[in-house]
Amino acid sequence: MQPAPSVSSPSSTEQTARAGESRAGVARAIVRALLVAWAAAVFARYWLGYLGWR
Amino acid sequence: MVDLLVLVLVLAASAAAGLVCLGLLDAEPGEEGAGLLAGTAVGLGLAAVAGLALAATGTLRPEPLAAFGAGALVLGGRRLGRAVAAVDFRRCLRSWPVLGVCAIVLVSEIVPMLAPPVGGDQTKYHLVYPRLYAQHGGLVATPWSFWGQMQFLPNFLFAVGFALRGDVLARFLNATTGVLGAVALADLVRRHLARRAGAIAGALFFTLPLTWSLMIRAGSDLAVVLYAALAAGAILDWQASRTGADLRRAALMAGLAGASKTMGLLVPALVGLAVLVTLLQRAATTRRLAAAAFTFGIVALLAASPYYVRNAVETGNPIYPFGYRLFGGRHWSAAASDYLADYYLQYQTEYASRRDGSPYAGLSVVLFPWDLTMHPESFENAARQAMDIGPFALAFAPALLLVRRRRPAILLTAALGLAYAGVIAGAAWAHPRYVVPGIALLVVATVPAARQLLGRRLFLAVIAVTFAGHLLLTTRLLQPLWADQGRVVLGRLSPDDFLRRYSPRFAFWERANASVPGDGKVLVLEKIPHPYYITRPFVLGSYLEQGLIDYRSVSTADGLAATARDLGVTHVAVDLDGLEVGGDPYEAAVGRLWRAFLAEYCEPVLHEGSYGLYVLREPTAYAALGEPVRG
Repeated sequence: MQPAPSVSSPSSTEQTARAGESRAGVARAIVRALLVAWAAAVFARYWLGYLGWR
Repeated sequence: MVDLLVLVLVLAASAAAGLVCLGLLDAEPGEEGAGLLAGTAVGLGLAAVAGLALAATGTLRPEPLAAFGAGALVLGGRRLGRAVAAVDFRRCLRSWPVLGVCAIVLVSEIVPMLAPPVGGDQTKYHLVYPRLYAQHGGLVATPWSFWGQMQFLPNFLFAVGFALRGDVLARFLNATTGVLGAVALADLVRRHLARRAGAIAGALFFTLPLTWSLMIRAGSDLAVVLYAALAAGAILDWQASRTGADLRRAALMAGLAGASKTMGLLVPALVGLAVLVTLLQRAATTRRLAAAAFTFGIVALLAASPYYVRNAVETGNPIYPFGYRLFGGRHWSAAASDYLADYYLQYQTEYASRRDGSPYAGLSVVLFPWDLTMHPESFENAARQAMDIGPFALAFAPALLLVRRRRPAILLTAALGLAYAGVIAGAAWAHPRYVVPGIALLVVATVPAARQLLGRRLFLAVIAVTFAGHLLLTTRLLQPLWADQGRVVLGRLSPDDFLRRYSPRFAFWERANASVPGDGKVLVLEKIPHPYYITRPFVLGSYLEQGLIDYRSVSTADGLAATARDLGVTHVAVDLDGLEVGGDPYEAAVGRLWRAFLAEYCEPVLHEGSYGLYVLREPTAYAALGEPVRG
């Protein structure tokens, strides 16, 4: 009978690193969303200008 | 059709000469396929220098130009053949949807080029003086307008066009710089910023409504775009290869940008700065730094200098009439400089009111990118679309901060574009046409940024929407001239009928030219004359754009009549509306002077629209008339 593979629990350093990566990922996603929103707003404002909005 | 054939011959000879020049300088691009573009661009610069040299020696005629062309083809024919063979045309064809869009735009632009020129600065100076030089086979002294010294690389290309054929070839050459500029931007992106997005980037610039305006009217801005893009590409080549060849090519292209207009001198300054910063980052030795700076400076200076040397020789000021307090200059003064600056400020103030704003001062220039995108109509008397740079650059410029792949090259391209536009807007004039070389670099730098931000599918969708928007706005620019320009091209409307319909100046000058004898000379009294349609010898008497007749010292009707006689004037043409304006005390005083001069010394000949033609009375006649008045 094979012994069950041992699953070592992540060290606190690894946990901290993963949490940091996760936070960085969230931050990147927020920045990307903001940049996309800015681009969309610029396009919208630009075309509204041609429709007479000052 | 003949113009197109001559254009091909001019381009072939130019490319051959340019490739020889690049070979002699040991400055050829490392990638063989890029040689044709670089060689053609350098060759157009050489053609302009040939035009200036022939004009300066009084031999600006088709025969010497043909001899130059034949010599170039003999010397560089083989290099040209190899350069053409090295171009990967199949790769170009893979971008057929984008090329198709550009082809549609180009066809729409060719129609106005085939009809007579109307409107814009081309009838004020870009075509006027080149045609004058071609007609006389040499440089013509025009001390009565500073625009005669605003003749740079593109203008002497136009002079070559006029000497060989006429205004159509001249405007084809202007459009050639635009097409090559778009190709140079595409090449820059493909090789350094985003391998698969080159064609898209070039087309984004080429389809801009502002580019359409610049393509159909002869000017110098597209040449600066071309050489700035090639200089940026060469400096990125140099950063990767570290070879002297790429550095010398960057200097040559940057110098040619400086040769294209005074503002273009910013290109060698910025590219030279990029060279120094790169070398400092690499901790280069002082000796290496000095050698690179010396090489760059000498090559750029030689490439830029011919037109400034001409101005220095003729006026004492290389950038005449600007920088008067530093360089001085004949037939100009500090008071004239100040008045010109005041006029430019009035002009900016008038159009800034269209955005409920005022001319930029200090930090308010940070609003320029927004106004440029959202209120392009607020910079000059033109349709909104004519100055429109589209929303792409402003929308995706912030995304530059997130780019990862090819980050240094993308950021350097964007920095060059931003710095160019920023310095021109802050220190010279925040105007769409003046910043277009910077905008072009910024637009193409934002392409990979947008691609990385949006992902492939959304990016392509945004590109498609952007192209559609550019085309839609361009269709608005076709009104009101394009249909009649097409009729001229098809032979269903005569060029003169077309001009009568759309140019009040032509309608007047057509009659005025017929009323002035061939040995006569016309003094034009108008604030901002557009003398393109004058076919008789003329002198411009603007109180804004010349200082030969300085109304600060010539302030009486007698004095003006004597000055006119000294200049050999027989007739006087007047903008009658201009007689009544008095926007400032000086303008009002000149208006009074002109009215008195007309009343005392001129006999009316004809009146057309808001213009009048008068004959200057014989000296004996007005001397006799003057006696009783003086008592």
